[in-house]
Amino acid sequence: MRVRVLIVDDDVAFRDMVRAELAQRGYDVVGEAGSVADARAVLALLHPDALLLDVHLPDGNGITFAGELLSADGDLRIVLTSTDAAAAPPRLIERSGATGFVAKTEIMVTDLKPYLG
Amino acid sequence: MGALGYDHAGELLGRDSHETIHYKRPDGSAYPASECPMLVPRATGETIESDLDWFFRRDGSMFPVSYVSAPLELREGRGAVVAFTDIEARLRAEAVLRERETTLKEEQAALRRVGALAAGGASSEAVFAAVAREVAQVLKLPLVEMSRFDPDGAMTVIGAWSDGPHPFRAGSRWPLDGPTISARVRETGRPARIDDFAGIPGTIAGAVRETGIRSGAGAPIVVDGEVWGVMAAASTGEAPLPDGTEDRLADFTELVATAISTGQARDALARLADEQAALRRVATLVAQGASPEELFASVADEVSRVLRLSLVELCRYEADGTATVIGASGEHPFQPGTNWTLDGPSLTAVVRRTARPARVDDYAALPGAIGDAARKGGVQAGVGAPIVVDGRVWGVVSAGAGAGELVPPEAETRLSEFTALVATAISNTQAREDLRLLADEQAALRRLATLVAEGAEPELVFDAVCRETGRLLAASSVNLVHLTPDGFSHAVAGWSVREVHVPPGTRLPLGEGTIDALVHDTAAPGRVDSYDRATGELADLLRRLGIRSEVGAPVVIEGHVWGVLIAGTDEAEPLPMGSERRLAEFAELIATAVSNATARSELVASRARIVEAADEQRRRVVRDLHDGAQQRLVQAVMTQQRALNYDDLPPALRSLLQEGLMHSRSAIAELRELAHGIHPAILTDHGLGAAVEALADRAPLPVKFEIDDRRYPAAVESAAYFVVAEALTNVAKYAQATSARVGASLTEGCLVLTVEDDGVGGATRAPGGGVSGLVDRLAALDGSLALESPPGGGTRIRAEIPVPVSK
Repeated sequence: MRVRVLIVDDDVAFRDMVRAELAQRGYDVVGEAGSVADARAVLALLHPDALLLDVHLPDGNGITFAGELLSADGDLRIVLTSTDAAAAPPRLIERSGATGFVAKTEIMVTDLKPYLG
Repeated sequence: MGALGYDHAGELLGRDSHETIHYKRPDGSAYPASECPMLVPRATGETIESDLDWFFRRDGSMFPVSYVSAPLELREGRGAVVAFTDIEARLRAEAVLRERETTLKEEQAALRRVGALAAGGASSEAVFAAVAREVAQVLKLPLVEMSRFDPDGAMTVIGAWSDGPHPFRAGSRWPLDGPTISARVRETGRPARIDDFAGIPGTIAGAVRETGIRSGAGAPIVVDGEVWGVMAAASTGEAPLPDGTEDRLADFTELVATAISTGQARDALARLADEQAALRRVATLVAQGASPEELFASVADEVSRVLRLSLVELCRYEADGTATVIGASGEHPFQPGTNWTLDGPSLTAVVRRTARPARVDDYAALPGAIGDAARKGGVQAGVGAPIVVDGRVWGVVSAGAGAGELVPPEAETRLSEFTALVATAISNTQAREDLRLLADEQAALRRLATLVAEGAEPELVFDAVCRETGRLLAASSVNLVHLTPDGFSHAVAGWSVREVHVPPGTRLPLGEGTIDALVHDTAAPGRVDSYDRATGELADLLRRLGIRSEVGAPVVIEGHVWGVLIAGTDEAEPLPMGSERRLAEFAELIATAVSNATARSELVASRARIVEAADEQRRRVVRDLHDGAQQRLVQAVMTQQRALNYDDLPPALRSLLQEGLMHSRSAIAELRELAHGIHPAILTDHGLGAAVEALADRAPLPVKFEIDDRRYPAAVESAAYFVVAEALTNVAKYAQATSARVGASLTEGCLVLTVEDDGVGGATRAPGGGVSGLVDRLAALDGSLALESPPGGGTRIRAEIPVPVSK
């Protein structure tokens, strides 16, 4: 079973890049969203297994969103990311329940299995 | 022979001498021959002399003789020869002399007695009468009188003595309307005599003739070079007074003159001493600052005593043209508290008009209420002097003579000495009062100015001003109202003793006739003396509260009337003139306070806005960086990474790509640092706690932190973050510490931030350094920074930033 992933990021170029990379690594990218609102909609429709979630979204904070989603569904695997490697304090990430944080500059060179499954 | 009364010797020869001429003693008793000294020489042969003996003439009359009896040797035996002299003439002459001597002695004794009387002060009727008696007795004159010449051309008898009735009673006054002795003495200043009063015209001459006096003589009493009076003697006898009587009288008049002079002098001295003592007593009261009532009563008593006039009063002139009695002595209608209209030419009215002393010689016909009351009080005549304070006639002291009293000469001058003292006292009191008021006012203004300068909250200043003003002006109520642009009066603060001020918060339309409207229209201090006719809700409220009149001054801010400071009273009498001017000084303080407060809050707001604008700008830059350049670079990195993932890359290509990637990553890192330095995104996104955590993580030494996990306004978080960032940087650079601690908590509306380390201390605020920049940023938010860094004792920074409550 391929892991079904939802990419939530408002940078289209990045989404394109990551989608290709994830697909190459054997993930099933089921959808993309550019905002918290969009993400909610897609989530309700597609029920992905995992999320690649940017911390800075135009209509909300990714960490807070993650916490919210995970308290509703503890099985969801969420990886937080950001342009800024120091965007999220480790403690907050832990508390949110996300499986981890991978800076965008490291995604291409990091094994995402521990995070996304 | 003739002496003995014999015609010829033949009658005597052969007769026994003794028996013939010496046979009796002067008293008529027998004189035996054996005892006769004349015969002794016959017996003894001595010569006998006798100074005084008595011989008898042929007719039996005797006469005094002195004789010598000498022995004579005759054939018959011894005989005696007697030679004698008739000494009757001599004896008589001696007797006259003796009499004269006695008279002289008596006169001298009388002079001495009169002198003694004079020395004792010949100033009373009894003494003058005694002098008249002495003179009459020693000069053997039937009538002696002494009179004083009065300024009006008459004379007053001051003492007289006579062995019979006479018209010259002491105290009687006689016009010098004829060529009488007194008139001539007065004219010439020399003794005079009239040997026959028959036909002499004039009142005195008439009375004199009636009494049976036929002649007289007089001598002037000259005191201090002036013909003060006359001492005159009269006789009812046929013969005129002996020659020289007037000169002998002159001896006595000299003494009397001296006595009078001395007496006058002594009187004057006594009076002067009395007056000085009285003035001193009053001056002491003035110096001690005695109450006005005490002073006025005392002055009335002293004046009464010094002038010997029993009806004294002090009056104050009122603005309405009446006079109020403020002090009095004696039983009369002009008692303290009574108020009199100045109708008629009374002393009170005349003094006020002329500002000079005046006297009324006869109250009998004086018209007006004061005249009536004076007559009822028994005032016959009076004198008054003005009390002049600061150049205007403030009041008057009047002294009236009752029955039997005389207004003394120069009473006006003497009264003026007292009025001068009273004027000084009043001036002093007024000056003291004015000074006290001024001092009070200055003190109050100072207190309030201090409040304003310390930047006390406007409400505090308003309350204080209302309270101080109320006390100072003795007002019943004080209100500060703000005049709104839409024509309302909004009470901002108020004070009163009896809850008669308009309650703060009351908002009412400006009504006609109220002080609010008046000051609003005129932009000047003003007064409304009666609210009876004012209309509108505001006036109704004031009437309901009981306020009857008000005084107000404008609070002018930037050229327009912001509000009015109002003092009101619920008493019938409006606040005194000048209250509005004093109020104006306090209104100015309020204007300053309001301006200050406005300016200050504007300043604070302005600085805060500047800081916020700067912060906002930084956040935007960071965001733009993030959304723009950083994202592009990320894309560059990812693209290059993707490229490097290809399997069969020519080594040259691979190495080029790797180089490119390295630069890209560096660029990202640098941009990130840059953005972080400008404004850490983490602070914006997650608040102070998260940001401090990040700082702690990057620090080269362990940093413990305890941060309130809450969000603060952006400007506050920014300022706090940069304080911590700067502090931790300094710790890393200079402190040589082993650990540091950061704390942040919200205490009483203030964010309290602390950064401590256990390093070497000795940190100072260098101007232009990072810390001073922080201080400026904190100051813009009304915050503060404290630095404690004892050498060797570590460093502790404490910042306090007020957290504004969002409105």
